[in-house]
Amino acid sequence: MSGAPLAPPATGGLGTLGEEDEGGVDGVSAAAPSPASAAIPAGVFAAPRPRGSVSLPSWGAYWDKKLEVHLPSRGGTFNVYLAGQQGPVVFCVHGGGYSGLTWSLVARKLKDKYRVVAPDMRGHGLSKTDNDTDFSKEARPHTMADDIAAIWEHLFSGSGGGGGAATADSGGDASSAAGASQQAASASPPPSDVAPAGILVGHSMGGGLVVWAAAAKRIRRLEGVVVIDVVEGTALSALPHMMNVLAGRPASFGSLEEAVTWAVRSGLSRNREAAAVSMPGQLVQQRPVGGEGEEADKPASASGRWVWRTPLELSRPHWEGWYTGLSEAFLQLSCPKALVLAGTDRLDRALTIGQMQGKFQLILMPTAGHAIHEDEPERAAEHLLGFLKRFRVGEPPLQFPKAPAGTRPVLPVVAGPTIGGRSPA
Amino acid sequence: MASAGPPENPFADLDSHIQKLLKCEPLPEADVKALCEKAKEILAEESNVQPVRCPVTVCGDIHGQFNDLLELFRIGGDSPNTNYLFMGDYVDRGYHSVETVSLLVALKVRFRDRITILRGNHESRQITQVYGFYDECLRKYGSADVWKAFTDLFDYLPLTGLVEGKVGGIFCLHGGLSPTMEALDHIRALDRIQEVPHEGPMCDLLWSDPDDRGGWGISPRGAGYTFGADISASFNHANGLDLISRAHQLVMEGYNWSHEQAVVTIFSAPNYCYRCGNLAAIMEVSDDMSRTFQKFEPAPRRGEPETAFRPGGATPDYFL
Repeated sequence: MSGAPLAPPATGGLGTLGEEDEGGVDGVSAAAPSPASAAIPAGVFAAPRPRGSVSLPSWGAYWDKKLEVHLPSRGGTFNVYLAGQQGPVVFCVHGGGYSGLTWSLVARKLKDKYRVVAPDMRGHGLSKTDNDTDFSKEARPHTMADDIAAIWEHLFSGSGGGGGAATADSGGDASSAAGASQQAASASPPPSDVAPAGILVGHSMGGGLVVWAAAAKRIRRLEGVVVIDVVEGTALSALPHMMNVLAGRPASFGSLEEAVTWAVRSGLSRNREAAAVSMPGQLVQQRPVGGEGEEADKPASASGRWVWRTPLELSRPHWEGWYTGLSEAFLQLSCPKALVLAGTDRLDRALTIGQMQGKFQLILMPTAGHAIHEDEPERAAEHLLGFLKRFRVGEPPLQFPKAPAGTRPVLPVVAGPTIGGRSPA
Repeated sequence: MASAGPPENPFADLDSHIQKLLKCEPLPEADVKALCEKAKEILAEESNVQPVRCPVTVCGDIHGQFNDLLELFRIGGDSPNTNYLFMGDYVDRGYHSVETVSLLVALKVRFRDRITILRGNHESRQITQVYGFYDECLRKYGSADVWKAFTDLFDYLPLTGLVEGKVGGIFCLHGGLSPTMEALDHIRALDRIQEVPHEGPMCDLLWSDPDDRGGWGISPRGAGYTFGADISASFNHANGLDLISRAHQLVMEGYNWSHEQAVVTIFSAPNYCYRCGNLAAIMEVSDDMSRTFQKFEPAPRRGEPETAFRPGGATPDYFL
């Protein structure tokens, strides 16, 4: 009905990062309002018309493969993006409403040395569970944090994993497609007998979840936790505004290109490429006649507006649970930990004290917005690489540097020797 | 000196600067630049391990909490009537980094033998750009020139101080020990006139922390190391020291002993960041090297918010 002439490669998950589809996308003068869209109340921000070309890179341009991890014990199938064949695991958990694709640009920088794993969490992206709106932390077991541990165990703990199965999809026409499809046959569990070491990285809601997942101590050889732009005190005090923020988003978009343009123009994303690969993971296309479908991976030529994949409003009862006690739980983690923030004013009291006592590494990236890893993927990846290297994730303990040979300790002239001084241990 | 008339105070300008700064009024840009140039000359002559005579009062982090610095002077006595040794971190986080560091540098230039100012990890170009001092300079002077003048000066600050008495000594520095620096002479041999590096001995001295675990460890901070009681004991013994006095870590009571009294941590910013609820402290070292601690609370505030914790600012962030 809206009849926008979209080029299939641009939205079908097959296009590569490039300009080959400019002609097709150019002038997608976003879809005359269809009857379906007219029924959807628009947000206070009108969705802008896309101007010029918006290229929609495929996930395959960044990731080696994606797996469908079937976990009956968790009541569903989780879509997981993977990049990198070897090295410690960098397990990345997206924020509320996002998908694993939010990590695409960071994954590209890490995959040479590390195995980057980015699931779509319950109720997000392409994952399908029998309870897509169970976002609770209080439920026993803690639903989403336990999902993290279950996915990790399934992928990396050999045969002892969750008793599920996985099917792989190679990365379309990405350069790694040939290698990836060969691996697909033996995708799970990976050949290595030894569970790899790794770290958890979480953004926003995902930052809370990785702390709770780490605190549960289920993940073996977890050697670090990195939390991106979420702090208990700040989050809790912003809660009352969140429904307004959600209500301020456009309820639907005529096309993915329009959604990407909105994400950039509204300031939600400050990096067009990251928005172009991340936004499609946050949306699903409606059937033209009502009915929210699960047609996300159908080409957009089937007309129908794009609506948010995750009904975040329904997660409201769980927000406080995600964040209450988070700062203390973070500080109590025994592994190395880093907090990446867009500004110091986001630190609450517990974390200000903890930081000033040297209990974790604080990394400030004041020129980024909330989605720091999307806005400044290169610097975010550099910080992650620095963290992995500095804390020797997956490496034997450090041999400490010694004083230069040949220099003898000299007693200060004035001070003289100590009387009954302690002997060196 | 140029004048042939009645004796004039050659420090009249400097004294008026200090009077102005004591009222928390920033100096004009040109005066700041001249002050920094003069301070550079003085600091360039100081050692990486600057000798300090007792009695002296040793202070930790200030972090731009200017009113609390005045409170510190009320508790410890005015400069120059009391000798001071500050162990770094004058800028960032608090509202008055400019006035705080201007005052301390002006006092240094005026009374160079009465006050020693060491370098902290925040006296760095990179750190000040994200923790507030750079923004404050832009706000108060409209350009980064004053920030540049100060950060160029910071390169000259001595790294450590040695309070010497008849017996033993107190080794003062901002952070802690370095695995590559077993002797004070190792430190004396460093070329310090540079930005604080990301790693290496100079970085360690400004970033390391004592730890309950023995031996050396990787610091959770992301720079420097942690060192155990065995390391401190060995260092003190080898160098004829009684005590390592350092700052860098917030301690709720203002000061804190560790490593069986081989190390003391002193923190002089009460209610740090206007939100932490901690006491501040200073350590008075007398002629006979005996030590007394003075604790103090935040100065009564006028015109400063009770808390700097304004989550979300005007437009709340999307945080889910």
